[in-house]
Amino acid sequence: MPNLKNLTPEVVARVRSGVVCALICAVTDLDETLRRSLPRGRFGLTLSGAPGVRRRLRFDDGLAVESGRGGSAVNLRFAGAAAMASALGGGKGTVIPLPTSPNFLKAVKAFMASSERVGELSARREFANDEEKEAVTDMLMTAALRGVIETARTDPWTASRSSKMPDGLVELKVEGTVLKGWIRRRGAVWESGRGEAPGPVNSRLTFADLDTAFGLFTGNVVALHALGRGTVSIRGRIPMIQTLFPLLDRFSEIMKWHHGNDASAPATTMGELDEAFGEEATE
Amino acid sequence: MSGNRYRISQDLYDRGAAVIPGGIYGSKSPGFTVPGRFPYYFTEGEGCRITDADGHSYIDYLCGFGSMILGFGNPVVDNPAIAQLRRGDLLNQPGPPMVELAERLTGLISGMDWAVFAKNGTDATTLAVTLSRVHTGKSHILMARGAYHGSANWCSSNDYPVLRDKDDVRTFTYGSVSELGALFDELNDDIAAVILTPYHHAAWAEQQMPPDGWHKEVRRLCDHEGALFIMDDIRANFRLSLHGSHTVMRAKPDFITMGKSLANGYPIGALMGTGALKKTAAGFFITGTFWTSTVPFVAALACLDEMERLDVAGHVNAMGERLRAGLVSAAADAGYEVKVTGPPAIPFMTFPSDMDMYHNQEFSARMAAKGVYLHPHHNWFLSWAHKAPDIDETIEKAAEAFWEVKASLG
Repeated sequence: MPNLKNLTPEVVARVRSGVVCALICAVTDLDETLRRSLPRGRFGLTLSGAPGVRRRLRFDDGLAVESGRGGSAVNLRFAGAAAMASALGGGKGTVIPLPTSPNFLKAVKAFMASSERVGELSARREFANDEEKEAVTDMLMTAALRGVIETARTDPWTASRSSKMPDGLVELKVEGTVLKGWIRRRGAVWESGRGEAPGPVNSRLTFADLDTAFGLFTGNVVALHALGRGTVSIRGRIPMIQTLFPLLDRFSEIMKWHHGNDASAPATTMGELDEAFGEEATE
Repeated sequence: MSGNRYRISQDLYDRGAAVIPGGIYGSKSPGFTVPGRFPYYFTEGEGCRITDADGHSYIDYLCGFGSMILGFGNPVVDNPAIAQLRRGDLLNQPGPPMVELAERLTGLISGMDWAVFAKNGTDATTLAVTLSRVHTGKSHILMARGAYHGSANWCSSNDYPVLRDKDDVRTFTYGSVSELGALFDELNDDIAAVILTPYHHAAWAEQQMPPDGWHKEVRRLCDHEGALFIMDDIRANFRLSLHGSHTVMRAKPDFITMGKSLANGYPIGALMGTGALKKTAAGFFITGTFWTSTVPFVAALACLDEMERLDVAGHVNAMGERLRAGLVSAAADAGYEVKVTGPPAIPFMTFPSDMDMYHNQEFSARMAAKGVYLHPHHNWFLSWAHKAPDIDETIEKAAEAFWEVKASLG
């Protein structure tokens, strides 16, 4: 039996590629300047290379959406799972662009420009105003939510725990802002998204303000302190939220993975909230 | 936000989180209550009232997770226990009270012929499961989905691929004869035991009483298979009957586990069994450094005497019924239908229109602010110390809280 705690490039490639696609969609929605600078017209792009991983993005006048259908102008095929995992984590990884339509240069350019912007915004820690901070927090939340569901879909180490999450809808929201996101589980189907939850919310995780949310997503606020003081609140069907914390923790490990060094470093962000629960049943 | 009503609790929790994994772990963790709107630390208790680290007093309905059946600081139990502590608690060998307690319990608990002692319920349930396997030579344990039998890996939510403790543990829907029967068919001749609580008291949900004929059918299936029937009476014990909850629930188990209220808060767990299992237990290595401490035996003997003298089961059920009726009525006045499930002495209230428990959480948080400790997700407990005025005060405050919840959540 393989050591399931060890991350495989396949798991990392699947999780990271999903998160990258979600972030590109978010950044082209949030950043109008970027959107206007991207090539005009409609064209698609596929990311592939790891076994079973095939992600499609469609750009429509600069706005990216994930789409399982339609043709692609280019297939960015990585030289295997390790290359895909590494390249999508900011490292090195051989990729072969396979043009499939005359728009392929536009597609590559749109992907590269929006990826670069994702990296730039995600790393930003100082802001001219709350609007900028809100946009970055939105992206961090998008990454966390997508990371959780990709981890739940993929990771054998957390599979037994994620399988116990009850079906339903979890909402995350930041008080004082319009920021919202959600995760839904329906049997084997895990989904996440930005904005309003698509139905009645079974449990809710609320950040008291933007600083708390940003601090938690960047590891600068101690998650247990925030929970203890109620600046992050959990309500509704708590076992659903409870299931998310170990997944967040694992996602954090996945994002830290480097090829040839898959030692799972302890997470330091919201996954710590897992510690605040322990036993799901009770005395 | 809660204001700063719980500032000292929260400061302590911050400090705790720096040096204790999770700050407070397990079922006492803030995440199991309503974080930010509940106290995390308590400093003292007397009767049915407890005081938190910030100095607020509460009428308490958790009773140390069920243990304080006679109330906090009951002198009838504490005085002989403290006297024994001064004489010596953990000696090299057990003291006479260990034998006296085993004699007392075997005389009291219907159908049980011997007892061994440990510290926590988990010790007792895990020993019962292990002895069942050794006695029958079979592997599988069947338990109801959502049931709590302790924090050991075989039955807890500690679920990691490298932990194999659950490999031979299968679950079924509580009360479903067809599901249980299907497992007996599937695992034919490899079932060591079925473990059940006297009724189903899973957290985050309404409590379920056993359906008619349920325990009789469990007994029949076990007998046919040659499997054992373990009754985990740790949470309910002595609140339903001094002679064991199985006598009320018409069950005939082979093992009974107990703890919690056995010694009114002193650390002791017990496993009892029928005569047919005594040889197996005798041949098995059972020990723990503190398992033969004398103080908890003395406390248990005093607690049993007092429970028998006072008819505690009768009292806690009467008080529980008074609480139930009052809550239902107060809720109705505010336009809510609430459901109070479980035995009257171990009730739990839910809002049937809100299975996600937002209303439970808001109600419990508001009751905490008024000085009544009602857990939002875990069943409650009544004790001998709860008297009619305490119940009536609780209902008065609940009447206010229901209206406040109405204003807040609708």
